[in-house]
Amino acid sequence: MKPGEKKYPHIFRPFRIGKMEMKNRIKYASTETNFNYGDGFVSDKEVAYMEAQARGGAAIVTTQGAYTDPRGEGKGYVGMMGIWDDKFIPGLKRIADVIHKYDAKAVLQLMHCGRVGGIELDYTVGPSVVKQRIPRFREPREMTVEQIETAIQEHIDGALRCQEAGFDAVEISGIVGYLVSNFISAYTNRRTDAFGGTVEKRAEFMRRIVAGIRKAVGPDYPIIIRLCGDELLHDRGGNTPEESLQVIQIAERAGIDCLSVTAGWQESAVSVISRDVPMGTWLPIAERMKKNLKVPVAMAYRLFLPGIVEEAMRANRLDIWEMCRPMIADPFLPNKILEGREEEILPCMACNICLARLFRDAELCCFVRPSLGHESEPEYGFYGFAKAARPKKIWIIGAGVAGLQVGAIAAEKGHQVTITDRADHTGGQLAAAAHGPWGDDEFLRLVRYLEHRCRKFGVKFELGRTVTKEEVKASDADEVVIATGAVPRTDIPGADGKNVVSCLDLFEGRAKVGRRVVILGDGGVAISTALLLLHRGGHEVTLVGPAKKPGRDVNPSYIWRYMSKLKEGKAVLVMQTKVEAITAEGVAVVAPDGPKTIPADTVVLAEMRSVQDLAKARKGVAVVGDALLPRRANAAILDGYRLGMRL
Amino acid sequence: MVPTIDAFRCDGCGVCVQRCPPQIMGLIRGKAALLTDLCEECGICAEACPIGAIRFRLPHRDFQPKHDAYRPVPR
Repeated sequence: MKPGEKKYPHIFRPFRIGKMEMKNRIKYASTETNFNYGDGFVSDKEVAYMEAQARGGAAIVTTQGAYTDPRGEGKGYVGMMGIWDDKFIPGLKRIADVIHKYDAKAVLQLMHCGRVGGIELDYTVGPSVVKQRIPRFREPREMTVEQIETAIQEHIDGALRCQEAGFDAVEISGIVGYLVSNFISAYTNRRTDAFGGTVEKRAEFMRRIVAGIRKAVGPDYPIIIRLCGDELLHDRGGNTPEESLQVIQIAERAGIDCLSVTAGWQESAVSVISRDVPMGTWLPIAERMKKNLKVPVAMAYRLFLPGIVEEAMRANRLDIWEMCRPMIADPFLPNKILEGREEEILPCMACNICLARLFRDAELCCFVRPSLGHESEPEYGFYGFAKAARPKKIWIIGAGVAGLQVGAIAAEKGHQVTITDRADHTGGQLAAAAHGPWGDDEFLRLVRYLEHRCRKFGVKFELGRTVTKEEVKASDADEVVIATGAVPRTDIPGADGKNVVSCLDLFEGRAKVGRRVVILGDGGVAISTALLLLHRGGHEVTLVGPAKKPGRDVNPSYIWRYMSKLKEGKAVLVMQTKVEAITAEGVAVVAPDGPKTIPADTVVLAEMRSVQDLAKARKGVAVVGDALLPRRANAAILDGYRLGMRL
Repeated sequence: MVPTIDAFRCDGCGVCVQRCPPQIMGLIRGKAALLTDLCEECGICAEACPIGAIRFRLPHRDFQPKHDAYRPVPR
């Protein structure tokens, strides 16, 4: 018995969906990648990514959604796979084969993106003309009954191609704003014909697809459907949770074998999958489905840790653990849990960069794993880095995430690595940021992972030691890497005053602040500082910066949450404003409406600058992360990884 | 995928330089340029370019019958 089976008996107990046997209860859930060719053909890159997922140990690997229509109306992502013609079958078969090769079950998802589709067309379709909330998307055209009938048939044809390509089951996507969900939701379906009106009529499109596929594929071929358990669109007239349950029960009667239940739409105005949503928040939805259905219930959505899932399975609230982002970050997550190597899991930070990239027609990308999409390229070391021909002595100064990332790769390659840091702990700014509210303590998981990785490959740590220029100059290391991070800028008159504190000191609890706080900066760091103070309470927060709006460097999937939290906390934003000086009374600024003084008890410096003191100590050093240029943590990881690959 | 800049079309307006989140773009001889090593491949520069001089598109390869993967399936 493997350690994981002992610790998580429910997760690793074999299971079945219909007649499909599963070796455990983990399912890699469907995720778009934009890795495929623009014309819908499967690319080598996609196959390599699917292979990584299959090798990782999940019982089921689901492909990304494939669009079912030749017109491209269902295509919502530039690199989405197509399944609208037999010519796609050989490529799809490659995916099914590679998944089977590693003893996993292959499931293909059919997805018509509906009102968020038509990526390459000048129009998009939906059940009714309803305006979009998100600016990227367009108002759809209303589908005719004939077009609806065609779409149903195309889904059925798609399922047959899926079967022919050798997949073990077919999955239908009916969530977050794609076509099936558009019909189901009272928000987007305003029809008065056979496909709109009552819950039954709104569910008719979905029911016809499920029943049609069932008839076509035979009684034993498993059909999985993803449906919303709660649309979280109350403010827009979406379905109530009761209506959602009714729809799901209609799906069960129509012949599904498994339900994958989700929460929220892309257009929902509440956080659903970001870090501020505690893990396990949505389990009550799964539990409700379990109580009302006979078919197994699967769920993804902020279930990142096996302990939470094991507990839910034990309490009969969930049957199958689905994961997208945690397995994008680390495809080997299931095997690492099984083998009792949980500390080796590369943790997802729920940063949603993956989604932001997809929505900008870029390839899927991951904050914590730069090897994503490069699984077949040995230089990216996804399956391990090759040993260096000539091991070098490498000295890394700075144990922040950039330094740790360089060190982890260099050591894995067999180099002799030392990491030195002034602080008595690793993690640098990310460790400081982990003191932030709303789930930011999860950052420590990444720091711990990188440190563990370094230690595993024998990196020598020298913590609590400050390095001088002379030491760098005199060092016998073959390579010196400067990863000394960033600190707040202090080049403002009065920045040395008693009422001035550094944002890093504030995060790490070394600084006290008064009631009225002015934060100098307009980037993500300044926003985080504001959020920290608002969360603690008792502060009146003002943000002052030169930009038009704050947070240019913040991921679009997070900035709206942050802005609404700033608004809730009544933070005052003084933008397009130059800081002249800090005085005992507050901050003297030149705002668009002229010079003035913003009163403050405490001024927090939160505009970062690189710490490069050691970079010029000798020629040929490498500088990475914020020491090179202050950016977000994903850039620090990316720098560290890219340099590590070259060492 | 790092964006590519069409130097023949770029008119040096600098909008991309302004919008690039990690601020790794600049103008060289009046044309946009970027530090590829530091590029996070987010595509915002391409979205911002008012004249479409920055290319950030996935490969649109047509059906390649020569490729092994696309041999017809025996029926």
